[in-house]
Amino acid sequence: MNYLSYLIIPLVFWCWHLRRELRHSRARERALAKKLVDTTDSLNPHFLFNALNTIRYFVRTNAATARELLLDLSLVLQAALRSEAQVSLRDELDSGRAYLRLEQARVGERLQTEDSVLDSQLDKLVPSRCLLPLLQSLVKGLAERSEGGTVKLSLEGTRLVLESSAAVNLPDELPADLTVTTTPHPRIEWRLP
Amino acid sequence: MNILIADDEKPAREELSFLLQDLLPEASLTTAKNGDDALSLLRESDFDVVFLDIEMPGKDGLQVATKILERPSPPRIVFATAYSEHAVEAFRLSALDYLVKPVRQDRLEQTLDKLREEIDQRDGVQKLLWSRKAQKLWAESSDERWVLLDYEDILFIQAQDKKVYAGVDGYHPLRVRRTLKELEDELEADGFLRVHKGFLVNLSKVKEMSAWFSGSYTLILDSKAKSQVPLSRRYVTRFREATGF
Repeated sequence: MNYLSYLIIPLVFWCWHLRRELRHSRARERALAKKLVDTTDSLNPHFLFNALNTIRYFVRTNAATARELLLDLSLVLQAALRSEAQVSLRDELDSGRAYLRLEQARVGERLQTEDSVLDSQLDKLVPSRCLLPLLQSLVKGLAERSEGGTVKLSLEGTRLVLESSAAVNLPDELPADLTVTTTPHPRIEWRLP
Repeated sequence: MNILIADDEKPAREELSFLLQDLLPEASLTTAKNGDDALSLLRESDFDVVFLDIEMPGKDGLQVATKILERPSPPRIVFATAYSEHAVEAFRLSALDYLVKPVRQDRLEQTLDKLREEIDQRDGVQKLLWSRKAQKLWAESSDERWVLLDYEDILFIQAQDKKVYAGVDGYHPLRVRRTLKELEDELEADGFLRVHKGFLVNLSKVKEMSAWFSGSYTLILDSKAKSQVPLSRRYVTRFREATGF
């Protein structure tokens, strides 16, 4: 009888342990699923699949470009999946620039960029995942026009300024630290913390 | 097979062209950079199928499709999009298929199978039945009006610069989107005869014949404009037999 309990007690513990593990892994799955949902909110699915389609073309025609674009896509995905609430402005801008390069590879000359932000200005911490949705709105506005246009990035004092030569439809809810003017052309000022 | 691909993005356009050319080496592929380009190419020449990107500047793919479907015997439409949110609308427009980019080659092969099946069915059986029964032919005027012609009102059919026209009283020559050979076979039973490399004539409209030179003739037709059609030496014997000259 005693021998049997030697067998049973560890078995019970093992079952309990398994159930706990399962519960935890389910919770992790749920958390990941939620993050993916959040990500698709901040990342337009059109962008993602168009980017993959564009990269597929370059794999055949220009492998070096394809490799660069894959790195750009992983920068964008890293930024979109980031769990930290704050990141350096450098990281945020890196992913934003990677995003713009991917869109340029896709739509060609219709998307021009001017970027006058210097690397030395980028050590500030900013809320993560702010820049990408704004850039996506600007690019969408440009891509809807046959003649395209220009997206400008600059830093004025403590404000990051985004400008576009085409009309922009911005997300409904904008954070309070954004100032938007639409004339003479769309201009978004982001007051950095 | 004549294929038109409309997409505003070069990589997407080229990739689809590449896949299609690989599957259909004999197909002739044309590309358009936007919806308006696609529509003007469709006015110029005949296509069996149009691959339309949905998200394009200017007219989007759905609007272009609506325009295309206003035409008689329109080409089949296949939508290609990066994200499947327009599928319902696409099927409302009776698209042949709906592809999600990036497109897998085996998936594209299914589309082409479907396309071949439809072309065989629609062109082979229905078009023939309809024209036999109705003895009518669609023709297009230069101002983009479509005219339904009775065989008996057609004076002649003329091929010129790889395009085919029908001569009818009261109209400038009307463009017919068929080949001269097709029409020769189809209209033979209705009293049309080949009289020249580029002409069929409606025999019941022939009124006079005058000698031209070296054994060829000019036929003058019973029409307000007194249209003339050449009768070349090669076809004189057949013409005589047909008319009892």
